[in-house]
Amino acid sequence: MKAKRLLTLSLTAFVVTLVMVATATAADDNAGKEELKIELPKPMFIGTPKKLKTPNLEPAKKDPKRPPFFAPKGTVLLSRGKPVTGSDPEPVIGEMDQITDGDKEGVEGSYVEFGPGRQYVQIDLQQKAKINAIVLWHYHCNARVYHDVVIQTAGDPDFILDVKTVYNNDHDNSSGLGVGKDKEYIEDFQGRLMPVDGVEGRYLRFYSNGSTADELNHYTEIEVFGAAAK
Amino acid sequence: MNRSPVYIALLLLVAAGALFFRLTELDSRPMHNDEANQAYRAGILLDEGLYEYDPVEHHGPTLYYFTLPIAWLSGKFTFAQTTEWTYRLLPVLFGVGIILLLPLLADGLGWPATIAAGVLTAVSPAMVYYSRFYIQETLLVFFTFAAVASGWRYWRTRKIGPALACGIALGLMHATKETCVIAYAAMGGAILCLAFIHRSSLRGNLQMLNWRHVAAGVGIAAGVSVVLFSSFFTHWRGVLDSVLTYTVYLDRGTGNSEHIYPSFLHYLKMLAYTREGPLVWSEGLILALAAVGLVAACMRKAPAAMHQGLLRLLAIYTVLLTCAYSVISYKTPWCALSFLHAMILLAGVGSVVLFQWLRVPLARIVLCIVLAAATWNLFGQARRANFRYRADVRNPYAYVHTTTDYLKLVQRIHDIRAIHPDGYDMLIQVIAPADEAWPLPWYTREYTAVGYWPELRTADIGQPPVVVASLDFDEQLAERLGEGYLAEYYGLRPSLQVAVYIRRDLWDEFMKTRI
Repeated sequence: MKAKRLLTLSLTAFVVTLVMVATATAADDNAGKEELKIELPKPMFIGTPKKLKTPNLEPAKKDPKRPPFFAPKGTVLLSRGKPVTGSDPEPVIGEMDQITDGDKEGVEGSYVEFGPGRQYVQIDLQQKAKINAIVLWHYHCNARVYHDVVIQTAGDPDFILDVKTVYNNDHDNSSGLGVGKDKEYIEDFQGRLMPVDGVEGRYLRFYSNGSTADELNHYTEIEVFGAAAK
Repeated sequence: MNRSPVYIALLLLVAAGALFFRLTELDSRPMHNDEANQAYRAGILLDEGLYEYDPVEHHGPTLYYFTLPIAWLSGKFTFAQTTEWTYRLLPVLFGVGIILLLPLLADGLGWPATIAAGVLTAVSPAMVYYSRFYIQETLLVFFTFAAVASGWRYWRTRKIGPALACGIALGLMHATKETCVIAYAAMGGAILCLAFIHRSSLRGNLQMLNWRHVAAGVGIAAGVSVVLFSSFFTHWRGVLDSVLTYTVYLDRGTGNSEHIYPSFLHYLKMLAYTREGPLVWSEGLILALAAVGLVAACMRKAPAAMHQGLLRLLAIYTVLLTCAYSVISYKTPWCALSFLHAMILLAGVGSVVLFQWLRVPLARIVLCIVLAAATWNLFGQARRANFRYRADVRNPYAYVHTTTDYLKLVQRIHDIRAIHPDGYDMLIQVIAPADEAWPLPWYTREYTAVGYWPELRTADIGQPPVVVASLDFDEQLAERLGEGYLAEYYGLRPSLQVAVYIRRDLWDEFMKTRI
């Protein structure tokens, strides 16, 4: 009887210790960081569609709400109002500057539509920056998955110098930018938050290659968070 | 001065433009479910010389039989050899033919209205879209218009030729689509109404009719129908089925279908104004001008160079046809084509009448500029509907259309075939209900070993190179195939995807070609 009580006590102590260590580690991880505040648009649909899959689609989460993201202190939104160019200089719907204007709603007038096949938009941060996170909204009027989402940073507008790929979910290299290991995802109002490990760059390119809905490419809003590089 | 040659040259120019427009990128739109199904049946006729009318689905035989000359002339003698062009060229030719028939009405509508109707036919987004769509609708519109136009020619000439032409057109209407009865009813109703309106001269007009001509017309109509439905006297059951089919279509039209839109205004709203996100679609120009044409038909005195009897006939026919299609709950956008074409004829009249009503030269110039701008807008919409948004869910004419993403699935099958030692003999297992299996039979027409199972439980699955499956079976199938397969997913239709399982060894081999 005494041995049983002792065992229970030991187990409880072990669990408590584990919880304390985990909390301390998390706190340590977030030391020097602060929660990134991201303004979200209105949701246009609710829940995960059952009949929507892609080869490397991330599994549906129990809680669709995104957990808070902690970025190094001093992280700010760098991309708002910054110049945008793209592979399709004259989109059929929308204007390039809508991509960094802060309007993320999933309604008409908020998104820019590019032609079929592989397309990209390019943002010039107008200064070299240390990038900590990117949030990308393609189109969230209805559930769909964009193919070959590839994000690169570079030091020059032609993407020759210091090119780094920070996200790539092209599983079969159909866009020709290399095979990516990142997951595909279903678009929703929260956008896709891509943590970036302090990569430095001034220019960012965001590729896509159509979606499960059609061959066209859409961009509603892109937000790049970070700090000016020293 | 006889200006007819100038007008004919103008109309030929319009027809040439319409032909060029309709032929541009004819094969770029993915095959719609229905197109693939129709092409498959035409393929059986091409391969085996076999056709038997199906009273439940697929409509009449003209589409398939008229495809044969195009296939033969283009050197395609098997289904596997055919391309989208082989099939879609047929509605293109009939779509342009609708414009070329217009001179038959020129002495009743006047040449300016005839030309205006030709231009509107050439650029109407719906007319262009479905003239590039391998289904029966454009053929039905052509034969219906041919019947009206040759009927008018008979009324004017009282000669046996137009009577026979009218009979042939009526027979071909029947052999094209079951919904011809709606047009028959609208034509009959319009003639009866007109007879009532002009009852004072009815006796004289009836006496002028040559009943032998009428009988010859009816006889040849029946003959054409029997020849085609009996598959050239080899399948007599088809003739009986062409009548019995109306029990099926009555059931479908009154609600037993997935395409039920009870609202009477469904079609008119679609044509008048459809907004899908930032994309606005409207054939309001045609509707508005048709309304003016309708008013002109109601007036006591005919507009200059027009025949009031013909205007009234067209007006009543258009109203009856529009109401009939709008009352029926079963609605698909292509069904609107029949009454849209009738509206286009009235719109041609409307545009000229507006011009005649305006006396001030400046007002006439303004009208011409406005009409030209509105027509240019229609042309822009037609380009949008047929090219960039050809299969887009925001295009009201692309009804439950196969997505362009599906073409990537087809390409993936070709990719795997290219590295598989069996090539086109590579086994492909398709496990999906019929509505999710189409249009794959079209896209795999060159493959010799494609098997279809509607249910997973009935499928005998070994280790095939490629499996295409409904997402309904996804989890069970993934379990049965195990780790040795990679799954990819492609959009089939809006909000519907299908899975492709590729054997891992083939996938790895394929990826070597991609890096």
